[in-house]
Amino acid sequence: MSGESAQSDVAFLLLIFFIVSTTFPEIGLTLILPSKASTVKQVKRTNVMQIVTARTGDYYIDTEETPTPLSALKGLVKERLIENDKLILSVETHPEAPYGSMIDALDEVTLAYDELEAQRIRRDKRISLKSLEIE
Amino acid sequence: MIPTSSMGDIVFLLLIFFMVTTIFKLEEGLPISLPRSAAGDKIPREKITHIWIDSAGQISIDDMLIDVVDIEPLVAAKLRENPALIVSFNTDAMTPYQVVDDSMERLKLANALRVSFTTSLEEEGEG
Repeated sequence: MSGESAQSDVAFLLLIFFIVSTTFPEIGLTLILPSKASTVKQVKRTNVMQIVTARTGDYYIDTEETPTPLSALKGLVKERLIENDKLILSVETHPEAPYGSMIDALDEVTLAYDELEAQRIRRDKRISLKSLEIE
Repeated sequence: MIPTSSMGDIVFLLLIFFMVTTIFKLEEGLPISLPRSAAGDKIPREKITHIWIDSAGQISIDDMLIDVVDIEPLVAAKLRENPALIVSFNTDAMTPYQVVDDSMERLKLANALRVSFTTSLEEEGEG
């Protein structure tokens, strides 16, 4: 059977082709930056939830004195979002804070939005990223 | 009947030929350890350009070490070629946030507003 002997070669070739041509998609937290032309809007303080990442990598919510553990962050964000769907989350980071701790905070915030998406609280441009001024 | 006994050899020869002649476009970037996230989205590779920042704050695009001020013209040129560009930050978890923030300010100037922070996937509940 001449047809069968080549079949494995074809299969092998296809296998190699797909191994070579496949690239795995990258995983990342996406964000749309505000454009330089966009106007500065004033928002009500009550509609803002600040998540401040300190130099040490600790998280402080609004003006609280005691740090909040990362594991509690998602629950708190969800609570506040359910109370107020106009809430704007401001992820503020100390310039010397490690990038990884900012990403952890952003991850928790994104997760909170994703988990509430079933309840139709929209994630659009409601997350702002800032660097705190050095005092 | 067409003789097919040598087909395997031909296929193998072709395979070897293409393996030898193919050059992969590889960007080496900088040695970094990515932060982990659970909420990451998949990003199509065709739209991505990478900005590598290591823990010492060195910035690299297209395997060139650059200053933060050079980000704007470089990314602006890439954006003209591909308007749907997503700039992906491959940044070490220990990099001071300041460097990333400065880079994002440059991206705003270049009008490259779609950014992504590349992370490695963390299973939910793991961290």
